[in-house]
Amino acid sequence: MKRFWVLVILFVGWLHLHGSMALAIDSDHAAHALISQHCLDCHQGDDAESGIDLEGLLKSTASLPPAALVSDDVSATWAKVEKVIKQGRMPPSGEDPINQNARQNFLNWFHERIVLKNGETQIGPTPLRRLTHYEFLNSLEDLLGVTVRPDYNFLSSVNVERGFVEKLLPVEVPGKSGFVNDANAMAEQPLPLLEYMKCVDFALSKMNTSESALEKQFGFRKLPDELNEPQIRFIAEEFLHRALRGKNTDQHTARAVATFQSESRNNATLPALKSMLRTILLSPEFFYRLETTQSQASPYQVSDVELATRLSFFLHGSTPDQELLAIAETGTLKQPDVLEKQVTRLLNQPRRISLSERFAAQWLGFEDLISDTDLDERGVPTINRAQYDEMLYFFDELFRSDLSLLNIVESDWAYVSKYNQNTYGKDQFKPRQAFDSRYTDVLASRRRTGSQRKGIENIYDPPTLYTVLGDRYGGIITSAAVMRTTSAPERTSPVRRGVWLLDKMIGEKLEAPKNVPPITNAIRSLPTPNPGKLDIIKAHTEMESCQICHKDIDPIGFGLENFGPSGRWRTTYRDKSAVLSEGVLPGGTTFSSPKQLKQQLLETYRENIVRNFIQRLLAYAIGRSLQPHDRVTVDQIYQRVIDADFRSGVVIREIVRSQQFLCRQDNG
Amino acid sequence: MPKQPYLIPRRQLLRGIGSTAIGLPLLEIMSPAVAPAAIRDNESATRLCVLYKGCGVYPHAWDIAGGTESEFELSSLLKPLSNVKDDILVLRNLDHIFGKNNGGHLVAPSLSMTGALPDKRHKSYHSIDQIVADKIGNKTPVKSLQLTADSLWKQHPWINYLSHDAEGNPIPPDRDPGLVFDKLFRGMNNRRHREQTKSVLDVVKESSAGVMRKASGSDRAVLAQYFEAIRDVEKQLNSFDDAAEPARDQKLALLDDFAIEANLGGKVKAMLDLIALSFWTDTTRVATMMMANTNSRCTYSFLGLNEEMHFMSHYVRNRGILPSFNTVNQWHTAQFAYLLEKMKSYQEGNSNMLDQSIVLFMSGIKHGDYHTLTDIPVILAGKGAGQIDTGRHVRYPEPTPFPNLLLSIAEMMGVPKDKIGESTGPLEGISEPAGYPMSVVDDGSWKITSDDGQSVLAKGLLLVSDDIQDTNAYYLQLSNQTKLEIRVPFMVVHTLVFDANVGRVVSIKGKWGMKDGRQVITGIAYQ
Repeated sequence: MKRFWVLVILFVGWLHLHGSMALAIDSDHAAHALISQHCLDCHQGDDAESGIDLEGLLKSTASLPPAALVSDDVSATWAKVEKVIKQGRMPPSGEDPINQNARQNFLNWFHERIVLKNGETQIGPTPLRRLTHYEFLNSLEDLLGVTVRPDYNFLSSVNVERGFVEKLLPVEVPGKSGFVNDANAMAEQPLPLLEYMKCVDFALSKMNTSESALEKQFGFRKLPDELNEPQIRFIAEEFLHRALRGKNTDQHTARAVATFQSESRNNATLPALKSMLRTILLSPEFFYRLETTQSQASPYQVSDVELATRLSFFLHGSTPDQELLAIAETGTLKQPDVLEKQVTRLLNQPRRISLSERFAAQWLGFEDLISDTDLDERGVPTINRAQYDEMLYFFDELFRSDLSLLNIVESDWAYVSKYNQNTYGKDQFKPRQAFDSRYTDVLASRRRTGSQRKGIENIYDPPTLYTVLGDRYGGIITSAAVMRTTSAPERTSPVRRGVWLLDKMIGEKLEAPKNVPPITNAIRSLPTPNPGKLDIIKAHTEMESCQICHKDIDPIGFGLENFGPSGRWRTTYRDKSAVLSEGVLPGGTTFSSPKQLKQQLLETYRENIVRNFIQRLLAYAIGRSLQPHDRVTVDQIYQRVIDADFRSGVVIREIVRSQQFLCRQDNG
Repeated sequence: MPKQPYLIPRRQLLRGIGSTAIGLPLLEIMSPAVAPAAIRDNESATRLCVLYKGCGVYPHAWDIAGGTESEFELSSLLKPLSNVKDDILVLRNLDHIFGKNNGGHLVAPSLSMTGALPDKRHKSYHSIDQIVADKIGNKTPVKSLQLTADSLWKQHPWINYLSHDAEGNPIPPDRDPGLVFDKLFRGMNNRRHREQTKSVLDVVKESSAGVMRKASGSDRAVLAQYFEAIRDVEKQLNSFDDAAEPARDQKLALLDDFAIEANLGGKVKAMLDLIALSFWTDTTRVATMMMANTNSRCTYSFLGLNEEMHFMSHYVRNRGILPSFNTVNQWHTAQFAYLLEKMKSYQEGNSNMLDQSIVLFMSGIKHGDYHTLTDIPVILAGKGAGQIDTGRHVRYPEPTPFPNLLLSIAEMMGVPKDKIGESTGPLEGISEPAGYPMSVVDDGSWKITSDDGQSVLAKGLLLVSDDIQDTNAYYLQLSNQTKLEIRVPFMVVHTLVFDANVGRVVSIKGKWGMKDGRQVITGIAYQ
C-alpha cells in the first residue's frame, strides 16, 4: 500500500512538471502495472536488489514524451527486464508468478515503446565515427601507395614483432560492442594527434617519388620544378577527393593550394607538396567520418558517397577506392544490382582480410597472439603466429568460399600449421583439395611455403588446408589459438574456457561478479590436504552465490579438459589422474567428447550461435553496440540466413542492405 | 631462452620530422661533472614516485616480526632493501577503511591512489600523484609520467590505471619504455622539432576551422576531441619551450639510445631507469608505475616461473605455489631497492636525489588470496627534503586510515589539503620517531620450560622461515636468540589455523623428531 502512495505522489509531481504526462502514464500503463505489482518490492531505491532500480527506470521512461527516444542506458535496462520476464527467471520462485495476460501486455508494451517508435522501426541516433588505428594506417597506405607496417609475406621469423608505427599508437580499448571501432568508446578516448603526426610523416617519407608512382597516386607524370596553379589545383582536388572520401569542397582545395604556395616559398616542390598532403591527412574530415545531417529523429538514407565510405570501412577497414567513389557519385550505389556488384568487387580484394584480421580476431580475442612471445607448458616459446594464422586462414576461407557460419563451431576441414601438427597429432588430419571458392585468394602471396621461396632457410610456413579425421578437432573452439588464449601457460582453466564459450559462441556474456565472498570457507571445508583441481572448483561452485553462474560455466570448460594449455590432446593430467571430459550443458544435455559437445551446441544453441554471429558482425559494421531497437533487423537477417544455409556472405549482404547500414538518424 | 633485446628504430622514427638522435655514453656511466639539476634546496620534497604492485603478498613473509621502531630485522620479502634500510620507513597497520569489501581486489589501485572507493557516480577521484602534479607539474616539460609494465586487460582496463585527473578520469599509462624514452628525451626536446610541429599545427588548425559549422550537435560534441588534441599538443610544446634550460640540454646530450631486454624484467628495469633519468634531468617530478596489476596475467619466465601472477597470488587455493609467489614479490622489492639506490647515486646540492624525494611503494591489498584491505603493504622511502625520518619501522597501535598517508604526502610535496578521500587527518610518526609501544616485547620469558627429549613445552615468538622457498617451516624464537624449528603436517597447520599466530608470542607443546640430522618439532598442540 505504501508503494502505491509513493507512485501516486510521484505521478502527481510529474503532472505538475509536464503537461503531457497523462498520455505517457497511459501508454506506459502495461509496464507500470506489471513492474509495480511484481518487481518493486525488491527492485527499488538506492539499495535495490542487484542495483536494478525499477522505480527509477519507470520514472525516467515516463518522464519522456511518448514519441521521444529512450536513451541507450534506459533501453538496455528494459531489455534486461524483458529478458528475465520472457524467460520466466523473474520473479524468482516463491514469489507470485506473472499471469499470462499481464506478461503479454508487458511484452507488447516493450515492443511498441522500446523497440519501435510510433509503430515504426528505428535505428537510434547515429554516432560520429572516427577512424581506428587500423583504419587510419590502412587509409594512409592506400592514399599514398606506401606500406607503413611490416609485410608478413616477407617476414621469415615465426614470431612477429609489431612494426614501430603500431607500437607507437596507444592501446585502443574496445567498447560495449566488443570492438575498438565502437564509436561511443572512441569518443571517450583522446585522439592521439602527436602519434598520428608521426605516422603521417613516416608514411610521407616512404612515398615513392618516381614518375610512374607519382602518376599513379596523383595523376601527373612529371614533377616540374614549378607547378603552375591549375596543376596544383588538380593535384589537390584529386587527393582531397580520395582522402576526404568525396566530401571535399572548393574551400578545401583553396586552402590546400594556399598551403602549398606558402610552403613552396621556402622549399622545393616535393617538400611543399608533402606539406600540403600532411595538412590534409591531419584534418578532422579525414579522421572523422562526418555525414550530412538532416536533423531527423527517424531513419533517413545517407548519401551515396557516405554509403561508399561505410561499405569500404566495413569490408576493407580502409578508405573507399576511386572506383567505389566514382560509382557513388553517379548516384546509383543504392540500386540493388550496383550495390551487390560493389560488395562482390570489394570482397575480391586483399583488404577483405580485415574481416578476419579485425572482426574475427577481436570477436574471438586472438589478435594479440601474433606478437605474443609466451612460453608453452614445456617452457618453449610458442609459435603464436602459427596459432594466429590458423584462425586467420580459417576465417578468410569462410568468407572466401562463402561457407556456412556453423563451420565455426564444427567443420570437417581446418587450416593446420606444420608447427602445430605434433600438438594436434598427425593422424587427425589429411591434406584436402582447395574449396571451389567464390572469391579470389587474397592470401595467395602468403601461402608460399619455404621450399617455394628459394634461398631462404628456416622460413615460416603458413598453415595449409586439411580434412579433419577423428572427433577431436574441426571448428575453432578446439583450435590451438582458442585453447591457448583461454589457458595459463602451464594449466588449463575450465572456468575461463566456459566463460569464453558462453560469451563468444552463444552470446551469453556473464558479468564479473561484484562482490565475491571469500573462498576461504570453501577451502577449509575441503577433505584432503592436497585437493585436486576438480575438488577445488567443486567446493567453489557449491557455495550458493557462486553456483548461479558456475553451474553454467564449469561443465562446458570441463568438457574441453582433454585439450592442454596449447591444444594438445591429453587423457591424463601431469599427476597421472585421468581427465574426465564429461559435462552437461545449461539446460541439461550431456556430452562425453569434444565432438559431442560441439554437436550438442549446434543442436541446442543453433539459433543463439547464428544470432550471435549476426549481432557481432552488425555491431562491427555499424560501430556501436546493439540496442533493443536493432532487434527487428537482426530477426530479419536471421530468417534470411536460415533460408540461405547459413552462408557467411549472406550475413554480410543482409547487413549492407539493412536500415542500420543504409540510414542515419539524429537525436529527437 | 635467448635474449632478444629490441632496439627501437629511433632514427627511423625521427627521420620524417627532421630531428637527429644523439649517440653518447650509457646512463650508468654518466659524467658527474654535469651541473646539478636546477632544483635548489627546498622546503618541500621535490619529486614523488609511486610504485604499485598488485595482488598482495604472503603477509608473514612481508611483516617484520619483533624488534623495535629503529632496531629491527628486515623480513624475508624486504631483504633486498638491506642496502637502503636507512632510507626507508616501513608503515604497518594502515587500512583501507572499507576493509570488509572483498571487491577491493579490482578497485584496489584506484582506492590506494585516491583514498576513496569508487561508486555509481564516480569511477574514481583525483589521485595523489595528480594532486601533486597539478600543482608542481608546470615547472617541468612533462607534467607527470605514467607507466605500466603490465598488459592491458581489456575487459577491465581500469585495474591498470593508477593516475586519475581532477575529474577522476583515468590517465592511460605508457607501456613501451623505448617510446617513453623518445617522448621524454628526444623529439620534443629539440627546438627545431618543436617549431616545425607548431607550424604544422598552425596550418592544420587554420584549415579545420570551418568543420564545426556543418556538423550536427552530437557530432560537434565528439569533434571537440580533435581540437582538444590540438590544444594538448600545443600545451606540451609550450611546456617544453618554457622549461627549456641549458643544464637539461647538457644532460640530455649524454643520453644514448638504449637497448632493452625483451622480457618483463628488462622492461621493468628500463622503466625504473626512465623514472630516475626523468627526475635527474628535471623532465618531470611526478611518476607512477604499475609493476603488476591486480589481475595480472604476467608470467615471470625470466625468473624461471611459468605461471601467472594472479594465479600465484591465490596461494591458498593453489597449494604449492607460495614459493613462486614469494619469489616474485621479493623480486618486486628488489626493483624498488634498485630505484632507490639509483636515485641515491645522483648528487643533488649537498645531498642526493633520494633525500629530496618521496617514493611510495605499496600493494593495495594485503593477503594475496583473501584480498584483505587491512594492514596493507606500504613502504615510504626518501627523506622528502628532511621531512621523513627514515630507517624506521612504525607499527600504528590502532588501525589507521591509509588515506591519512596520502594527505601527509601531499603536504610534504607542498600541496596542503584538508582531506584526501576518506582521510581523517595527517599521519603521525613520519617526521620523527613515533615511540609507539611495540606489540611484541621480549620480557625474557621466551624459553623452553620443559623438555624430556620426547616432548617440549616452550614459549616464544612464532615466525615463518627466512627462506622464501621453504614455506613449510615455522620457527619459535626464544629470548636467547635461538630458534626452534617446527615442521608439522599441513593438516595440523590447517586445523589449528597455526599461521594466523605468526608474529605473536605463543606457548606450545611440541613433539620432538629428527629431520636431516636436526632436532625439529614435528607435532604440536597449543597450550
